Amino acid sequence: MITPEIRELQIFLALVKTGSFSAAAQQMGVTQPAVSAQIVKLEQVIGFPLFYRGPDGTSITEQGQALVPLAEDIVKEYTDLLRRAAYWKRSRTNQVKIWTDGSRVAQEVRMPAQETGVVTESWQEIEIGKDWLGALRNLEVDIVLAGSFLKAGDVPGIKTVPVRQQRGVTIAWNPTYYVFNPESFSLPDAIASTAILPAASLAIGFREFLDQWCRSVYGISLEEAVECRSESDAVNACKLGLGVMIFPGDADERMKLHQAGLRTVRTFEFILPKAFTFGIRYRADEQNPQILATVARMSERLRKSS
Amino acid sequence: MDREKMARQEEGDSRTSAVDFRHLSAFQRVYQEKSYAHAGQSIFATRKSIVRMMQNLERSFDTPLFSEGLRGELIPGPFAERLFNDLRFLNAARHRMKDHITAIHENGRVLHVGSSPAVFRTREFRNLFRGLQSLDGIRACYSAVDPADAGRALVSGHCDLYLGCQVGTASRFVIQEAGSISFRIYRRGEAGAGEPQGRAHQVSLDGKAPEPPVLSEGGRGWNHLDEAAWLHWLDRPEECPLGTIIFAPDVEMDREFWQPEEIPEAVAVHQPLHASFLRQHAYEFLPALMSKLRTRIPAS
Repeated sequence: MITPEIRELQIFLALVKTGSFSAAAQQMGVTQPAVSAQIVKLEQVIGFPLFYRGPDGTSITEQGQALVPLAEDIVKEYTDLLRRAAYWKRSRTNQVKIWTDGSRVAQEVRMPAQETGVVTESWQEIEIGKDWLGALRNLEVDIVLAGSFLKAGDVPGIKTVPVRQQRGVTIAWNPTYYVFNPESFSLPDAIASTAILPAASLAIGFREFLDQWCRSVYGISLEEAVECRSESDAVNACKLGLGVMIFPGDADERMKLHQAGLRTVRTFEFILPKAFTFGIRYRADEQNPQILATVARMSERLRKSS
Repeated sequence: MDREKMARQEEGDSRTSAVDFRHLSAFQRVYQEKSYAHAGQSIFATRKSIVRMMQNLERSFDTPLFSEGLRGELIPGPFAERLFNDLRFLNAARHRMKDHITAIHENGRVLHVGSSPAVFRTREFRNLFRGLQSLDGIRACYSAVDPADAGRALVSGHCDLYLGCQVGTASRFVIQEAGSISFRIYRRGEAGAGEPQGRAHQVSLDGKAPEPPVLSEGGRGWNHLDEAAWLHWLDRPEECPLGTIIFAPDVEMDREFWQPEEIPEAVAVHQPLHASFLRQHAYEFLPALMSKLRTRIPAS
């Protein structure tokens, strides 16, 4: 018996996930007959049918279902192998892969490769929905510059060099569209409107905190919220009156909200003294000198700029 | 979208088609044998193809794998050492799947045998089914399939092997003769004196039946009896009028109600039974299984 090839397993899992040959083909970037042919080939290799094919769609057989976790394991190990290979290649060629969130400070710290001497830095903004903590752990990226709320970014195996630590939460609004009195401000009034929040890449753990706080303290849920990947997007949305901005830490200082004509109020300052941390994150057991040197250089540069 | 594409491109240097299991297995052989030629011998490949595979891998990973020593033996580079070490996780996952598949093969794979309910009642079908149940490596189970839906059931995978009297022509199916169903004449008692004589009925299977013999009682022609009505009389023979004659497949019948009649050997009273399966079916054993079934067919 020959064991299945990686491509067949990837297509098998895509078909399991989508439940349709055409959707699986779209996901894998191949044609539908190619998916069909790969599945037939896989079934012939393993020697039993994996799917029932009917006019109403595809459903997995019992034996096929039992194969799913095993196939997922193989694909995961294969992906990890390639990631490790890419990491070794970066080490050998003095490349450092850096992801940043959409904060102003992260954008400012991006420096051209030629300035960093022998190391070639490859910068990229964190993709939507990407788990950057996981990506750091599995060697997909070497350094991440991102914000976190409370302890959400403190996980074993990941080291943080804090660049900014700020208290509480900032609420901002455009006075043209909203009338709030900063002297007698209440959070439930603000979240009755659409809330403009940071996406998880900007402040991991903040949305979860706010949801939980609103539910447990006020007995309400955040019905309408817009999550922004970058601080400038959030400021623009707030200026346009699309909602009330709720950001962790001293957002006014970071994002120059007053200069943008927004009014602000600070809250939770006393109970959350180190609410927001913007920092440089890297693997705690990292031994690549180029990565460690880049972290040190970046830390120094950020400290100077702040 | 553009950003996603760029990101994929950026990290996709090594994610090329060359880094597949075939190449990685060949790499492990070369690493162990320290020779392209010996590695080739152990996996039945030529030295040339092994060298080409290693070149593909080197291109994909953008790094050399082996260098040649003074005595011609291959020396793994630092990347090859790391790759070989790291492959153990992937190998373990592949072994787990292989063991799982082997266990399914050893425990017997489920064979869904489909037929119409009428064919299912025949003695020939039951003999064939019993034969399938006795085979190692197969766990035969029955699914009732309407003859009109047989093709769909085979394509969808709800039925692996269809036994019926109809012969399809679609090239995606393998259709072979699997046996022959004998037909007999059964009498439901005798009509009493002065009572009207029962009718004579002919039963077909999947719309097919052999030519019935001429009845000794003149003036009685055969009427078609559909399969459902025949199955009903099989289960409730007391509802069948006395004096009825049926020309039907050989099945287990209640002798208290039905008296089988001998048919002269010269009259052909057999209907071929065909087995169909998908040409591209996952069960590699189906053609061999069909050969086994065919050996049971009488030479006539």
